[in-house]
Amino acid sequence: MGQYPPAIKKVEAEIDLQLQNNSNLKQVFDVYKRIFFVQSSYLDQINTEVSLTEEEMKDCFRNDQHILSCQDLKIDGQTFLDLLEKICQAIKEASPEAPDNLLELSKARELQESKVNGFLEDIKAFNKKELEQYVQDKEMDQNTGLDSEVISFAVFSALIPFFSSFMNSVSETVDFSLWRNSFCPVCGQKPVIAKHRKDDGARILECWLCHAQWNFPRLECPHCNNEDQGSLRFFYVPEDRARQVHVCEKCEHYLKIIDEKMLQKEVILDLEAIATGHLDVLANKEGYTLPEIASLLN
Amino acid sequence: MKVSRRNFLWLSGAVVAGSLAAKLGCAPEEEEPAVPDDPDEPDPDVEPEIDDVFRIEYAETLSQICSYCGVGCGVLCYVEDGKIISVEGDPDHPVSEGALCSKGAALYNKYYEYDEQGNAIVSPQRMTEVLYRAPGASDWEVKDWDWAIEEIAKRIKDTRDADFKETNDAGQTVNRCESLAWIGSAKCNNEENYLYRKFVAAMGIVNNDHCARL
Repeated sequence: MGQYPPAIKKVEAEIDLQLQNNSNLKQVFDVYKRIFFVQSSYLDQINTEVSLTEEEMKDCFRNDQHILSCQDLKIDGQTFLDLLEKICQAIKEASPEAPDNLLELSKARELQESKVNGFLEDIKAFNKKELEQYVQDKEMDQNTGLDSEVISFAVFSALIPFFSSFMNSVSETVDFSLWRNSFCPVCGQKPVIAKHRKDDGARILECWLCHAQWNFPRLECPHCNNEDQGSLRFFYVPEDRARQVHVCEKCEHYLKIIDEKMLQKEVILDLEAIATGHLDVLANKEGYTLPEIASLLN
Repeated sequence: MKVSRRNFLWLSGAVVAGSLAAKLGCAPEEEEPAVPDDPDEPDPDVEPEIDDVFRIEYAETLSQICSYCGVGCGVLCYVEDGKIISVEGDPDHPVSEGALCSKGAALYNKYYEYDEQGNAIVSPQRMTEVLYRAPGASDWEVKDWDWAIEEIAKRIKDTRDADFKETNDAGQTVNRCESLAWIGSAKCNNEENYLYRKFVAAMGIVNNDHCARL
């Protein structure tokens, strides 16, 4: 499967296409684009080591264990803080209405030089909800004057280059064809969007954190592993059949799917997650939810 | 997807309202709602519900096996209101991995044909009920499944009872029925074939073959 990140020109071209259909998302895409530029510029500087051998990684997959449950990911505290600062600046530049305190986030008490490594150790296996809870428990939101969701988003945005770099290193050694779980084979996070691959229509899930892509059966719920075809359905807006919401009647969760075969092109799922925000609203109206949400629009 | 500017303005607000994007300052500014002159008239500033703007359609995906040749490729059928709306190869099928030949890819046209206006209608040649033509008769009769299964069982039993041979002309034990034949299918799996073979042996049927050799 592909390496991360996609080419900047491709991202820009794809954003232009999306804006032709929905110019009201311009500011949201602008925020995304600036964050993406910062993340991409750091990806080359970050070196993450994979300590497991190819056979050990395959054993992890055979035992349904994601790689980071078998080895530690070293995150350099200073690089993380630099990234966080630049990402907060990028958000503020693209969205001047963003809270001013965002520019001070990297100077928060918990992120001081002596504490940042402990903070990263605490939170690096968290999902979005867990991080938000942690932020509230430690009163980081009160101390910084920022919403816990905003802090969580900024922190994860600064972590993405580390996790993506690690995923790139893993995928150079081993592919994810042995992996048949609904959570990420590298970092264990749950996907929020997927696609039907252009070449063969296979369902490819993508991790929102490390951007690993792996195959998952079309006729199985990725949230509860329900295989009963009678309780798996999907809906779409008739004017745009390529963007679908696959729902499970049993667990009442959903997953957005972009059909590349229908679009006849490869898509960038991070952008599609933003552009299909209306499908999330429709899914919620229909009574379906996402177990863990981490996209910019949610 | 093209939607009116008004809807997009509304959509953008609906999606980002109370969301992370709004917290990051990306939400559209809220305006003071205008008060309509006539209270009975719909308020132009009250936006419609999202399901008034976007009509959605539900469909199901059902996995099937292509009905043409003995390869048995996997097919995904998209079904809306009980009707197939399209088919494609099943990427998770171990035999075909998403591929279909030209006949398989056109399975939709086995189910439908087009009327003079170009509308897809279920092919009138498609059999949806049991048809029976009695020996010597020229016309088909519609029968139900219970009748058909019972009749088949009865005729198999009658034929076997009439023709079962315990010994051959030389007096050797053979326990066979030469007046029945069994033809298997390329689409049966290992376990099904095991059961068929057991059934055939129990019946004493010796004329046992397979469609792929015919």
